[in-house]
Amino acid sequence: MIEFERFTLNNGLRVIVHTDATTPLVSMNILYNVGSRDEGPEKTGFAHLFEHLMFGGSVNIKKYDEPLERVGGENNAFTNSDVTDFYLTVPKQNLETAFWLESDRMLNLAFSKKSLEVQRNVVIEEFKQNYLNKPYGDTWLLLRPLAYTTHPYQWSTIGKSIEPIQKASMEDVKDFYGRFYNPNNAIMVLAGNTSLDEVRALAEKWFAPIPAGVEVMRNLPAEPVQTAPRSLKVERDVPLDAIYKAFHMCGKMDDDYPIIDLMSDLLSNGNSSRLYQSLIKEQQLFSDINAFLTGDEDGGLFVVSGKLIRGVTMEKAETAIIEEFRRLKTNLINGDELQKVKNKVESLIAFTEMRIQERALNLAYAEHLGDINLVNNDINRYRAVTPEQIRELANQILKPENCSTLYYYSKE
Amino acid sequence: MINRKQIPDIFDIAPDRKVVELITPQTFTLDNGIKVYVINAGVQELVHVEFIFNAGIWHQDLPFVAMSTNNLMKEGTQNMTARQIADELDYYGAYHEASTEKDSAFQALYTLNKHLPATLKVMEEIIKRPLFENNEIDIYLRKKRQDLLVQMEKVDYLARIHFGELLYGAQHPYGRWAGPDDINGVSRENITAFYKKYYRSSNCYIIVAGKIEDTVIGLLNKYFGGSDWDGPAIQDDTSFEIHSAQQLKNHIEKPDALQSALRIGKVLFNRTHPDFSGMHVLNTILGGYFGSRLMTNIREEKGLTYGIGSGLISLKHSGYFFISSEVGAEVADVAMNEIFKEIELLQKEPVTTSELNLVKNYLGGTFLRAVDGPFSLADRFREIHEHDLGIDHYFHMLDTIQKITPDEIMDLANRYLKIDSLYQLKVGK
Repeated sequence: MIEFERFTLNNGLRVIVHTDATTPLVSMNILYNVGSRDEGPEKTGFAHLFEHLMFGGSVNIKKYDEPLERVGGENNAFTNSDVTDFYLTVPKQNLETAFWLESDRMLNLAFSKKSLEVQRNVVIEEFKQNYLNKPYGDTWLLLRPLAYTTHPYQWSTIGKSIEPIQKASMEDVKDFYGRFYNPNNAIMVLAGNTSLDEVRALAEKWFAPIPAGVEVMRNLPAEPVQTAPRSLKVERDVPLDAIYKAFHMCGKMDDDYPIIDLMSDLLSNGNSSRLYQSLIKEQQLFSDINAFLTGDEDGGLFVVSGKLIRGVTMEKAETAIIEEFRRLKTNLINGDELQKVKNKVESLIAFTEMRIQERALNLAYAEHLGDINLVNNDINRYRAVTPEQIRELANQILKPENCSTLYYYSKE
Repeated sequence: MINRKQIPDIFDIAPDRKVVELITPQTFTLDNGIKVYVINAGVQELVHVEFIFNAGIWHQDLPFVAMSTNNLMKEGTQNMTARQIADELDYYGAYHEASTEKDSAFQALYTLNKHLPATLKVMEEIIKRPLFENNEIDIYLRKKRQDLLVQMEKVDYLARIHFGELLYGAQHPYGRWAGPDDINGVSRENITAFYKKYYRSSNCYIIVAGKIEDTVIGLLNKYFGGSDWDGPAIQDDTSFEIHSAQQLKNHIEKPDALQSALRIGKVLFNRTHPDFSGMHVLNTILGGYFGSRLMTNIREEKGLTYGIGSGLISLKHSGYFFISSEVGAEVADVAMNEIFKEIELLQKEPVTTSELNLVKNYLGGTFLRAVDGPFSLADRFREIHEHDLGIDHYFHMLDTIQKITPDEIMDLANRYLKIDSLYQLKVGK
C-alpha cells in the first residue's frame, strides 16, 4: 500500500507526496505529458532529443547536473511513445536544490546553440550504439511501421532515422518546449523523507510563479483495424534467424489490459511458462523466446519474439508458436496456472516498490493514466481475471489478420 | 521575488557512523558450521537469501564449467524435475538467480516472507541434489552457444573479453576468455566433478537480507545445516601469474562497425590496498559520474559518444582500472587522444577546491543511496566480506573522501595512471 497526499497549484501543476521516513533520501519525479506520438512524421526522434536538451542549461542556471551533484544528488530521464519522465534522488537536507533546478527548467530553457549541436551528435551516437551497431538492433525500426500504418506509434522513440535529428532547428526546439513543457502538462511526485507541509511550501515558492501554458489538445489519427496479415522479410549480418509476431491490442486503461498482460505471462514469464517449456525445452526450436506488451496508451502491441536454433526452419518455428496460440484459444487454462501468474504479478509489485524512486514513478504514471488509485488497486484488476476471459481474449487478438510478422534472417 | 540565479543553501550530508554500522550483520552458525549473515532492515515483507560458494571462474580448469554447473543445478534434482522446480518457484512468485563471477558463484532466492519455507525447500533440492542429466546439459549448452554467437557480434563485448586478456594474459583466470567453440569441451563429467568439489557446506556462506523473521535460522538449519553435504574445505591458495601483453596499443578489426569500442586501463589493486579509497575519488573525478572530466569533454563538449566512464574493479586476488566507451568509428582516434589529455591534466594540475568539494558531496550522496534498504546493505556487506574486511573499510573510505586534498589526487594520478603504463584497445574500423 502506497499512501499519498496531493494538491494542485494555481498554474495547474499536480503535486503528489508520499512520505517514507525510513530513508535519508527523497525522490522527485516529474512526468511531462509528451512522447514520440506527439511528433510530426517529418520530425521523428524529437521528443527524445528534447529530453537531452532539458539538461543543457535553463534560463537562470547554466548547467543542470553540476549543482545537483554538488548537493549529493543523482538524476536521469527517459522518453517513450507516450511520456517523458525526469527523476532524481537527493539527500533530504538538500531537497530545495531539486525544486530550484526543476522549476527553472520548467520556467524556461537557455536554448543554447552549443547544447543543440552537441546533443544532436550525442543522440546520433546513441542511435548508432543501440539501433544500428548491435545485432537485431533495428528490429523496432522495422516492426513498428509494419504494425502501424497511421498512428504515430509507427515510429520508434529514437526516430525513424538519423536525418530528422540532423535537421532539427532551434525554432523546432522552442516550439516543442512552448507546447509541452508547462506546469499544467506535468505531474510532480515527491517520495521519501519529506512531508506534505514541506513540499507544499517549496512547491508554492518555486513552481507556483511559473505561468500555465495552453492546454495540450491531442488529435492523433486512430490506427484502423488491421484486416489482413502483414509480413516483412529481411536479411542481416546476424548469427541466428529470428522471428517477431506483433498483434494489435487495447490501451493500458482498458478492462482487457490485465487479461492480455496475464496471457503474455502465461506464455513467457519464468522458466515454467508455456513458450519456455514447450519451445525451448521440449521441442528445442528456440534458444530464446519472449512474449510481452509494449503497453502504449492508445493501443499497444502484444509481441512474441524468438531466436531460432540453428538448423530449424522459419516455417517450423512459426508453426510451433501458432500451435501455442491455438492451445490458449481452445482449452481453458487450469486454475493453478492462472493463480501462478497472478502471484508473480503480486510479488513483482512488492519487489519493485522497495525503492522510493519506483514508487514515485508509479504514482506519477497512475495519475497520468487518469486514476492515481491504480498504484494500489491495479492488482485487483489482475486478481479478477478468469480462465474464460483469457480464452476469449486469445481468440480476439491472436489471429492472423491481426498480426504483423517480421522474419529476420541470418545472411550466413 | 525569489532569486533563481542563486543555488539554495547547501547542507552537509556526510553520512554519520550509524549509517555505516547498519552494514554490520548479525552472525549465526548453522549446525554444520555454515556462517549466516543476517541484515534485518526492511519494512516490506520480502526476503533475499544468497548462497555464496567459492566456485567462480577462478576455480575452473576448463572454460564455461563454473557457469554451466551453477546454471544447471536448477534443471532437475533427485526429488524434483526441472519442470517441477520452475513451476514451484513461479507459483510462489519467487525469483531464483544463479550468477557466476570471477571469484565466486551465487545461488539466490528472492521471495515474499510468507513463502520462504516452501521456496527454501526447493532451494535445498537445487543446491544439494542436482542431477545434471545429459538432455538438460545439451539444451543449456546449445542455448549458451547461440547467445554467445550474438554477443561476439558486439564491439563492446569483444572489447571486454580482449581487454581482460591484455591485462592478465590468456592463461590467467581473470584474462582467459572462450568463444562459442570452446563450449564443445564442456561435458557432464567436468560439471559433476566441479559440483562435487565446490558445492559443499564447507565451501559456502549465506547472506539473508530483508524483513527477517525469527524462524529464518531454524529453517536454514533444517534444510542446509546437516552434515549430508559436507566435504573437504577448499584451500583457496592456487595462484596464477599475471602476464600483461607486451604491446600497449592494440586494435581488433571489425571493418563494418559504425562505432568503435574503446578500452584503456591497467592492472591495479583491490579494496585491501591503502590507496583504494583515494583512487576511488580520483576515478570519480575522471570518469565515475555524469559530471566527470571524461563525460564532460567527450560527450558534453564534443558529442563524440553516447556515454563514457571509468571504474575500479576489485577482485579477490587483484584489481584493475578501466575506461570504456563506444564512439563513432571516424572519431575513435580523436576520442582516444582526448582521454589521454584528460589523464595528463590530472597529473599536471591540481583539481580545484570547487570541483573536489562537488565530488566529495556527490560521493556522500552515492554512499547514502548505496546503503538504502536491506538488499543494498547486503551488497555492501558482501563487498567487504569477500576481502575479509570489516566496516572499518567504509569508515576509512568516508574519511578519505572528506580529507583528501588536490595534491594527493595529483600524486595518485602520477603514481598509478602513468600514460606509458596504460593499455589501450580499439575494436572497430
